[in-house]
Amino acid sequence: MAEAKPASQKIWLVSNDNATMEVDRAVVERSMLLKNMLEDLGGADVSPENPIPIPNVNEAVLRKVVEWCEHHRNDPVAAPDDESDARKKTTDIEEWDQKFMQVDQEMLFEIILASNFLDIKPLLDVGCKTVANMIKGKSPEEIRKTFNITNDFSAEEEEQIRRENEWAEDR
Amino acid sequence: MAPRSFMDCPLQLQLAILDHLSVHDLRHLSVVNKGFRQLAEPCLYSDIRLTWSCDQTPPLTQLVRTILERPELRLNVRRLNLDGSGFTESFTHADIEPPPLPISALPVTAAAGQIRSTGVPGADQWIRELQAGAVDALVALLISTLPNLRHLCLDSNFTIESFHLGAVFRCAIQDGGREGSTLPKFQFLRDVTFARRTHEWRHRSVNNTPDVLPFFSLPAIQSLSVSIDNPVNWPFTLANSTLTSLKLFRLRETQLEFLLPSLKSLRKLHWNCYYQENLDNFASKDVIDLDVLVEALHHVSETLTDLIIEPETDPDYLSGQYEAPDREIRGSLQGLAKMGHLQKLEIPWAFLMGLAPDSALKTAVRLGEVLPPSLEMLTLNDCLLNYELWDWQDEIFVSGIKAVLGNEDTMLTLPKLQCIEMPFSSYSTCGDSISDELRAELDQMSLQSGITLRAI
Repeated sequence: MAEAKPASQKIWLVSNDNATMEVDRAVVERSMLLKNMLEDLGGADVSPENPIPIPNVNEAVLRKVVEWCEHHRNDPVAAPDDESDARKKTTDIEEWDQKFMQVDQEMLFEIILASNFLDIKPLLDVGCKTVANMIKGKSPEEIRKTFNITNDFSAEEEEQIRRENEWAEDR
Repeated sequence: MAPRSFMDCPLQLQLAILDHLSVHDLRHLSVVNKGFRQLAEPCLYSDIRLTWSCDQTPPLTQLVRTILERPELRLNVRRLNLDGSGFTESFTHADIEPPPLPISALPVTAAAGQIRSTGVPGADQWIRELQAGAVDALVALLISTLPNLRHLCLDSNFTIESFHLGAVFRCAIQDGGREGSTLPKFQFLRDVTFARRTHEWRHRSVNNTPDVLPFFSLPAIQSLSVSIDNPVNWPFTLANSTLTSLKLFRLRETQLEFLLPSLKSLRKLHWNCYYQENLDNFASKDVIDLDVLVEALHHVSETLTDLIIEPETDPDYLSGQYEAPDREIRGSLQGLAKMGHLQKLEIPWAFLMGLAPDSALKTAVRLGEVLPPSLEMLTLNDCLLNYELWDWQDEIFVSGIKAVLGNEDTMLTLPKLQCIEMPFSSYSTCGDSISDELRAELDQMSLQSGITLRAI
């Protein structure tokens, strides 16, 4: 039997730079990694003195992730992806998430990596869509500027690639 | 720690991001730098869709050129969609045959080498037709290079001729992978669409039966939508197929006898029972023979759960007809009751209740003898009903259903039935719905019988 676990039960997390934060268990459980861990451990041992360590994630990023989980604490659990290998066309993001993702690029990728580590699929999805939207509709040069990338192709190489992918050109 | 960037993300995350991008964006990404190229190229080639629009031929030649020049790319191709139905906006005779595709970009020597390396018979003719820009030759060449295909969809402009494509698949299922041959076995290809030809009534001298039957024998085939010409003689016996879902066009009930016995796993069948005067006229008649149909269906009675029959009739356009001829229905569906796994059935109202309005009430009472006890959902569609001629009225549909529900013996033999859908006349005065009065009557009947009744 699972023990009673009121949504308001508190859990403490500690970032890799030693910031401890108190979070409702229901919020923490947006992370499948932590949800499974709490189900295995029961969660009773977690205290302000004995918080769950979140390696690889610093305080600023962890606070952002917790903020997202707070806002989405009551979201229904998404159905698992169907096995379709067709390209996903939609990059629609709900308004609150769009605002939430208005951060610098470094923070954006930190959030993506943290949500991947913590196994928070919907947040990871929002992060990936945000990056995809930064690429969409841009020319190669604009993409280079966006991600601060140096072009390491010669003019001939670039021309060769364009020729190879000619079949995919807009018609 | 260095600032995080796109390239610091694990490959799986980078690919999850690229998943959201269009072909247009992936093409741009592939020239950003070497790292992005390595990432974007497999995505760009995994899902290929080329379109033949009315004003532009598809860039098939350019794609084949790249695949021949960089053979490693072929391994990425999982899905291939060749779209397009119609070559011009006009309906003149000029567009009977597909226009040849421009092949100036094609490396002819490499293409010929690829064709010969497959070991498919008829290489000389294949190469000759390729040099003439024949669609079939080019499509067959492309597909013969793609060992990892999962999904193949050939739209109407790409199915007019299928001689070389058929040869590729016949060879692949018979002796694909034999020593020295580069021909794939297509062991991952599970979903195939082979659409009806553009202007199919004009193509009377071709027969695609031997070309499309190999789809049924692909090692992983699950879902197939295919238009099969009625052959004078059935070309060969099919091996047992793994197919579970079949959407079948054009082939008539007399030919099902040759096809269905090998479909040992078939769960869903959607059949369009096509008729047009002067098309396949040795096998395709204006009479639908239900006895022949039911007998053929018994070959899949152990597995079939869903059956849809939507007969389609076209006028003989070439003889200047504009009205589709009426069709006669012979025999009965008795025997369908033995299809012990059937859960969903959609058939023309006319198959069960007859073509004449007054026959409905007489037939309705015998429904229990016709339908299998496993049936959960019955849809009666309006195919074959000629509203103008027969003066159909929605009252007749409703009273027909009422007669069915009112027969206790019938209802006892259908213990699992949950829902009946029936047609309504689009010629009726209420436009796109039945009248409020009839709807109320249906709702009342639903309530009393515990069976959901809907007019569709």
